[in-house]
Amino acid sequence: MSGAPTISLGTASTGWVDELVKRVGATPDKVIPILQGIQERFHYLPEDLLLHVCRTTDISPAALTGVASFYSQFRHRPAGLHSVKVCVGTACHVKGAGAVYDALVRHLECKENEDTDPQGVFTLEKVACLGCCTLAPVVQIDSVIYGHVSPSTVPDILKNFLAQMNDQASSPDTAQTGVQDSGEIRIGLGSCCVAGGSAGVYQTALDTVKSLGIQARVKQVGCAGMCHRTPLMEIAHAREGVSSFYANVTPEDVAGIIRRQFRPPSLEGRLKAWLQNRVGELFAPDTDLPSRPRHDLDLRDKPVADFLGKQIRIATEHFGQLNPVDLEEYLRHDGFEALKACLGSLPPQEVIARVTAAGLRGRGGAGFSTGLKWQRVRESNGARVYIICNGDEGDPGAFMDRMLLESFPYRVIEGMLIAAFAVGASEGIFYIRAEYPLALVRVREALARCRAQGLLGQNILGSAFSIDFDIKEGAGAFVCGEETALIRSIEGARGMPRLRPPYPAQRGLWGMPTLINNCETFASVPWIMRNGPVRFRAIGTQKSAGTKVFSLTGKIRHGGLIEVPMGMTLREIVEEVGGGIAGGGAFKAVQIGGPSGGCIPADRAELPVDYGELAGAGAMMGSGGLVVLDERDCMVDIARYFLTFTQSQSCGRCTFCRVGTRRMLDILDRICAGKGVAGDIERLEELAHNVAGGSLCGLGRTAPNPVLSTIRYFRREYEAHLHGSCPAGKCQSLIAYTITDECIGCTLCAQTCPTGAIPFTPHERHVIGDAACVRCDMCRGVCPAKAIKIVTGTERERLCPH
Amino acid sequence: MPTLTIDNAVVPFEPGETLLQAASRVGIAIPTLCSFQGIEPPTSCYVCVVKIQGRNGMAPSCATLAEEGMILESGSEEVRLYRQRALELLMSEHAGDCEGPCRRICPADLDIPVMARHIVEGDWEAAVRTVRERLALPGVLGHVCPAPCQKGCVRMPVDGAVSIRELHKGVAEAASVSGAATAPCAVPVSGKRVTIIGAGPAGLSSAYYLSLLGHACTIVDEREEPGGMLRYGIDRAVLPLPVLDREIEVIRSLGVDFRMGCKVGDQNALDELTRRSDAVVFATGTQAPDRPWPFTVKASSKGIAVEANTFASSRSGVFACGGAIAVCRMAVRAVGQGRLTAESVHHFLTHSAVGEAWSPRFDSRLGKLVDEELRQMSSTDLAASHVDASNSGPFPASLAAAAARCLQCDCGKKLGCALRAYAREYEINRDQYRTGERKAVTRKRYASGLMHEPGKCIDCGRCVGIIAAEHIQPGLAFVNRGFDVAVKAPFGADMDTAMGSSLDRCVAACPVGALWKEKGTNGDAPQGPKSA
Repeated sequence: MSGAPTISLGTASTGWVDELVKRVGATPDKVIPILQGIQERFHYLPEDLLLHVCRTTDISPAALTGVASFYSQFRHRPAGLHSVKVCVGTACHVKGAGAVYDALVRHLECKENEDTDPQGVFTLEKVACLGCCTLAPVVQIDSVIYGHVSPSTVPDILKNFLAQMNDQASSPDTAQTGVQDSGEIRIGLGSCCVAGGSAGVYQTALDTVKSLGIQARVKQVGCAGMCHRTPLMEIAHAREGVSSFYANVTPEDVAGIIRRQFRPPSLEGRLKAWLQNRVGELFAPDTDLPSRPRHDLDLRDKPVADFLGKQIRIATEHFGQLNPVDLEEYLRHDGFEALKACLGSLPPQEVIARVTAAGLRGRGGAGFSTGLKWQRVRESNGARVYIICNGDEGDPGAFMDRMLLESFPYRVIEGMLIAAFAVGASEGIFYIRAEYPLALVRVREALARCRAQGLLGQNILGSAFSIDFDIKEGAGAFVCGEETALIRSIEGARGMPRLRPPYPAQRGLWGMPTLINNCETFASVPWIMRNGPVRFRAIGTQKSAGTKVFSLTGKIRHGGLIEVPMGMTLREIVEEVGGGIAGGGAFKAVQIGGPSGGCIPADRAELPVDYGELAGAGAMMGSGGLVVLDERDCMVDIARYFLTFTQSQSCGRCTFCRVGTRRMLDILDRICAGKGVAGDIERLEELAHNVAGGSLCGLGRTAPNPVLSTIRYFRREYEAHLHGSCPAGKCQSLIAYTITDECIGCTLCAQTCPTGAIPFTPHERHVIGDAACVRCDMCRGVCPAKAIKIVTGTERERLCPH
Repeated sequence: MPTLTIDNAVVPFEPGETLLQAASRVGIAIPTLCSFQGIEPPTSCYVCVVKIQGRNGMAPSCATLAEEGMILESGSEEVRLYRQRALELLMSEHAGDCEGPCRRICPADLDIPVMARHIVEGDWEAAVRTVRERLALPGVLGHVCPAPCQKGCVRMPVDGAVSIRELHKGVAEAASVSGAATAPCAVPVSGKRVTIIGAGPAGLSSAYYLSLLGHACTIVDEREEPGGMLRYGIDRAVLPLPVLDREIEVIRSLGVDFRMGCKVGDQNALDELTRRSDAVVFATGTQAPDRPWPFTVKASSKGIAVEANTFASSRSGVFACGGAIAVCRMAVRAVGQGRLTAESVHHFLTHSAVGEAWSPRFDSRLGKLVDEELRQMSSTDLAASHVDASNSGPFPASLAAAAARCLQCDCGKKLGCALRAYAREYEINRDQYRTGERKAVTRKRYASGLMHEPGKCIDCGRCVGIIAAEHIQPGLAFVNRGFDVAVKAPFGADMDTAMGSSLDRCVAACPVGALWKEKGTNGDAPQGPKSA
């Protein structure tokens, strides 16, 4: 590895590992936390330290090798100083993450097969999904998230990051100002908001309030769901009981907003405010990044009303109002009332009966009856019973679990406590992706506060019921969302699913009966217990009761985290809640359910959100990723995208999944590269059916869905590819860029082109050299005359003969 | 005892048994490449699938527990198709040749790498047996064969092909010097009589193998001396007469009756022959195109028409091979066809009907090796093996040295490979999923005699399971994920040390040639099905 710093490892390092092992434990099930510890410290897993671990713990060399190579979090060669994670989740993919990655490789001048620049500063990595889909494409450098990145802003974000590194002066002041409430300033601190820059907004708000002496509380709140307009700031006046929303707020806007909303108490303060207003106008701050328009959000505004009004909040109740980790506040909003009711007066059997009567079905994908699942665990009568919250949301294009855990940790905990009480569990585990650091922090904090308040631990709320919850970090394996694989992972093994039955309800963690539910399922439970099964059942459809949380992303105007009643049609979601297609393109399809789901075409958008209806249409509820696609999205490319993902995430056990998905991908690659042959579509379909029928777990059984559903609804597009044309203009091998007569000779494209494919010819029509063109789309973005066109098929043959 | 049904047969089972175990109770064979006695079913290969009525998709029978009243399909077309697909997918990631390209090319199907190994080991009996299994005239062919096999030799681009022709010539010479080995073991006399028309290479070969199978053979030929084109059409400097005479003598010594100067010129003569024999083989060589066959057998301008896999003509009991069926320029082809015809005639004589006496072998094929692979392969030739080549017995040292150049690029488990046997049984399309890159071909030889060829591994998990069950350290592990999964020894440990005391069990369990032991080339009986 050229350039990257090598860390000299000696006794100091082994001593450090010994400390780590002492802290974490030395039993075989501790292998993942130990590896995570080493990785965090050294940014990769030095082999001599791994050997040291084998020598000093009960972990066998074979087990350690197997685990270290299974999870994508672990790296085996030294890394650069900073890690650059390019999100290639679905939303980012359709918005050009591939071009961003290519631009980074070019800009950093990484050599072939190297992921680190020659100076060893940045190491590039593609990650499945950072869960900031509304800001797509997203790049995370260390802990800083950059949204809406394009190939042309790549140099800027690297420069910005390095500048930040040099300027680490200010440390955040976390104190809340003021005793006498004149109101609250609520700032969204979900991952999307943070990525949108809300940390800076929060800090500026604190400073402003302090310097003006305003009696307002500056408060962090969870996700409001309107991730498309982050960062969000809400001003709630105690007196009038009204609140104003501000969207796309920048730190520079903050002072102005606060000054307008709150009247400083003293004359000095008012004078200061007046002065600052003037000064602010004179010296408008300059930033490297293109500034975005700021908006006052009027809740009566039609789009906003549609976005919010069509939604029913159960799992996300009180969205955008609660400080995620403020237990007192949660308690004030009926928090833990449901638990109290259960512990006080309801026998476990009755709790299960109510959940069953509510018709709640698993929100993780398959939609199994939650009540029935609880019943089975209860009936297993194990000596010990485990309960696990599955927060290993790995679907690219989905971030419901992240939002729920970040914004409503207490609700998930409460639901899980009720479930634990109902099934008689004695130990609980939160299994959360390591890619969700904020969720981990919040849940850890929330658990600690619950413990302190007697909501967790021995004799909860004075009852006979005792349980505590622990956190396990996932290490980057989509397949661990499958319950048997998740259990293997907690046990410290490779996340390989096993044949069911026996189900975890009978034989789960450590061979004991285990209840595994998804975050959203747990988050729905307190509402059901408080409002009764009848009210829950009244929402939604006959077979799919209640609401469903979706992460609405892609080519949609108002993307974000939404919670809608089951039965709402896809069209209502896209056009009313989501406000239609962004950028004026035509609505083409909705990809629902991520890698296990399928594409529903616009002409079938009357389909209601319902487990059965979606499955019948070849898609799946999945965990709730909803990616909207427009006419510029190639359906073959989408199929290939998902298959690339599932193929890389297969645990590698079953022949059909391990080899079959690869062969399907080979065929798709061939089609996208214009090398498809007659019969490929049929070959693909046939193999897809075999893979679906010949795989052990849900990953393999559903992996063909994106392929089958796109063939089903968009067969013509596949056929076009076989004839050398990509109608959406996406597949690089089948398209070419060309400049039309509209060209005004401004040279902007020539200046922008990263590969020099466009000669600099001022005042003349420019020409693109096809051989040098890397199809990064940057020229098309800068052309003021819209003279750059993508051509495919015969037009390409004619204009760019090769 | 509870019961279930498989393909409409009622099958009793003990509670706790798997479907595979239940099926085996009643003799229903379900193929499997991963389940293995004493380990948790890996459920990886998905070749053992069955269909359970009322359930979606296929179920792996090795791990699915039998339940009262289950209704299963194992022999249906749908299940067969799934098994076929699974085998095709496994074959697509199985980088290895079953047979060396030399043998695949050889028209007589001589097992060249095995012959070479026996020469190097000085095991002349085994060498002669291997040669004689396929070549009725090994010395003659040692002189006249154009050796198409050598053009396929993997060693060719490195430093020239192995001199294969010299090898079987040398074996024949050594055998004649030692005076033994040419005499085959006694075979019970079948009481059947076969007349072979033509004493050329095809006829001699047929007579040789038919005699070994216990049939009384008579060769009739219009010429004075036997040998056909070998005697009358080849320069004696190329083929010295004593070599030919010696090998004809071997055939005569089996009791073959040579009737020289005897022409079968018309239908009556043929009728007479067929009356006196149980079968007739035309091995007359190529007929001049302007002379029509004077017999009532279907023929074209090329020759007598025969069925491809039986060499049977349109007339019952009459077979034809060699130049009689199509122009045949290579004696080795005539010799090969003569043997196959003998097999087919034997089948006819023992079953009273024409049938396929042999079906084509399944051969996995690698295609071209890249330079790095070639370099690796040539480092594991027989000269580098741990076989003691200093004692080459009756073979001259130069012959042993020539044989030691063989890279042994055939598969060490070609006889016991379960994947190969199932591939044949399920008639898979070998190249169906040969898309994308193939795995690298690598072979590592260990001091223990273990050969490790990771390119052939199908990730079944048997060895990993055995080692886990026996708590061996450092053991073996599956590494990586998805298509990149592989079995590895941790931290670069040697495979044989990693497997420790489980080594032999793992080698025996490996269903393919990823793990094998050198001595096992011809004999070990690895786990696997009896080939169909």
